Amino acid sequence: MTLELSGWDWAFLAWFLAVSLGVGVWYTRRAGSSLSEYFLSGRDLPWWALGTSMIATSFASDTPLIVAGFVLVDGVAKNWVWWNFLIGGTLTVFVFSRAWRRARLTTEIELIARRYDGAPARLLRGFKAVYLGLLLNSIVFGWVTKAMDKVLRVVLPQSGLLADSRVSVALLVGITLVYTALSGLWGVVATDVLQFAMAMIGAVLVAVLGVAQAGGLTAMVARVHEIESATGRSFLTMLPTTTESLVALVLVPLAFQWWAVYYPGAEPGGGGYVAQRMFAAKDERHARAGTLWYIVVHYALRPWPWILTGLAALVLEPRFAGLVADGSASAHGGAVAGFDPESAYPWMFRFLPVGMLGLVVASFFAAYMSTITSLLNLSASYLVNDLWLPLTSSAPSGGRDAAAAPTNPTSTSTSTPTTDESRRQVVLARICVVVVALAGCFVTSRLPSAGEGWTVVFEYTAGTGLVLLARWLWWRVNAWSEIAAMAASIVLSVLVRTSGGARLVADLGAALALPTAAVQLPLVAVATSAIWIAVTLLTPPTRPDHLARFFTEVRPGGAWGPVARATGLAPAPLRRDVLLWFASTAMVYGFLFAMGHGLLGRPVAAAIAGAIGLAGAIVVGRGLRRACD
Amino acid sequence: MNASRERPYLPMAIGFHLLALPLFVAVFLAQGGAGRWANGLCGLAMVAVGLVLQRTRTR
Repeated sequence: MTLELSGWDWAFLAWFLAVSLGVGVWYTRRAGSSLSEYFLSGRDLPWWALGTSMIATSFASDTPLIVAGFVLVDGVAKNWVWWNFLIGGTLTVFVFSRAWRRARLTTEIELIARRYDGAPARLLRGFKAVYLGLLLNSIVFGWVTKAMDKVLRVVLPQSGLLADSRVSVALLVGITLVYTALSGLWGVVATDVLQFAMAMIGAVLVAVLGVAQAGGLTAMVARVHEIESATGRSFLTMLPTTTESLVALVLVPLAFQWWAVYYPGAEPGGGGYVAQRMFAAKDERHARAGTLWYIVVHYALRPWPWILTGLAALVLEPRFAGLVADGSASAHGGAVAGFDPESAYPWMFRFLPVGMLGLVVASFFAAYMSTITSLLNLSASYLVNDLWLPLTSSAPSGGRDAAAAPTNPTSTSTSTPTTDESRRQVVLARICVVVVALAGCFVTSRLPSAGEGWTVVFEYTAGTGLVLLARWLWWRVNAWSEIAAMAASIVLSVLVRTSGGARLVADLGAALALPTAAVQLPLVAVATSAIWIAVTLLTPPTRPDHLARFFTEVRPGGAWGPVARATGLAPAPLRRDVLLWFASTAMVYGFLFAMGHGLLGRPVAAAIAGAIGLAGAIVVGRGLRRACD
Repeated sequence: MNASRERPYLPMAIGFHLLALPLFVAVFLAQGGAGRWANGLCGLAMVAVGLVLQRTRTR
């Protein structure tokens, strides 16, 4: 299916790209003054900017397609595969965000140097800089670019230079690369705020016009009920209606996924671009408020236009309902027999009039650009701060604690005087942005599909999450713990795919009457955790003076007995933070379902969910006020 | 202290105003009431955010 862009559509697209480029490039001079400005916006970001930037980054060009596809095949409840990450998100906000900000790091990886010591820490830090900076983020770059390519194929002209979607994607990457390399995190965040607004406007336009085409909300919901009766499937319930789906889609993810999987944007305990935004906050309060803003909008507000679009597609295209009914699109399975559920979202573009199609395509550009700008800046920060600087540092032992040392230009405040050295470091950072973009383009050319990239990241990081939480809470965790967790997770993920491993998983699933997918993740997560805990206890702890310095600076909570006694300081109390964690989780789930029930015409359920959300909000509000006092 | 430090959000504000323009143009291109209202309201929201950012200064 292709749709033709009119002159107005092309004009709107060009206008959007020019504005994004102009706003981004505006910050070039400021970003060029130091690495602190380039990677952390001089630690001067307010909560609304850093939070919106996180939301924009997590909103990639593939996200609307995936969510609408979920709804089309398995109904609204399928979204639990990512809604479960909310628990980890609120945990980051209330238990870890202050510790991250207090550590005054430049990157998530720098924590390794601050928390652990010796050769294993140096090895781990360098490895993670390459693994996250060049490999994992390139795979993410590849999957979002593949998704952008899929959208472009629907709207590009049939002939001419731009008919080749690769040329269009290359142009888009080129424009984005220019302002990302020049403007650093300030440019990234400023354009993220703009692009998020644009991306949401596109999502709202598609949903409004799609629902209008389906006869309005009430008529659309009534028609979906008819389809439910005809197919025996549930599309409108917030929870799956069969036990098998309930376990696979809700219970297992709630029990394991949010703490076990290192998923970009939902890293256990915070990490990646979420951590980078917290480091860039004005202070701890802005870090916490911004991350909470991200969590609320990301989970409670943003998905509903996409969900409504998926339901409208189900109603408007009889072929989709037919495919669902005859089993071509199967539960938990996705696409078979040439049916791609993700094509439903672009299919809805046919209801967009002249001009609005251009705006919606611009919204996809916005979603895509805001994701890759963050990836490029973040990856470059890993390569410069955690690979290059420790290697070239004059600190003893090739950079032990190089990141923590006061000489590290990125760890100092915005008042660091501008020097030729820091300007040279920014040039290096800009070169790294280009290198990472090239690596991303290479991975894109090799990646079979967007889903393939997602699967690789999701499955090969399963089980690595618990150690990332434990390093803040248990003094005994050391560099070997993280090394063991990463190695065990990869090896076990490969093993469960061998014929013997697959048979074991299948047998276990049969014995527990669970689908294979519901067995595999818990198995890998539990085994990985057992391995790293054993390795931790068999290897020596981090040196006491090193731990004492970390503990004094960061003041984490949890099991820090010997370190607390040595320093004479008590660990931070966690009781109130844990209460706020529960309350905020109830708040966001409450608002999420209040919004959903309200839109789908269930006022009583909406009122109950809204009341739960409100109660959670009151507890959170009081807790935050006390924290400020 | 230079101007960009006092008002670092000014480029964002200008960006919001500039991106509101195509939304207002799209009001006239829309074929139905839903499209006209959606574009108009989104355009106004962009201008409102732009105005707020325009007046925001750092501490």
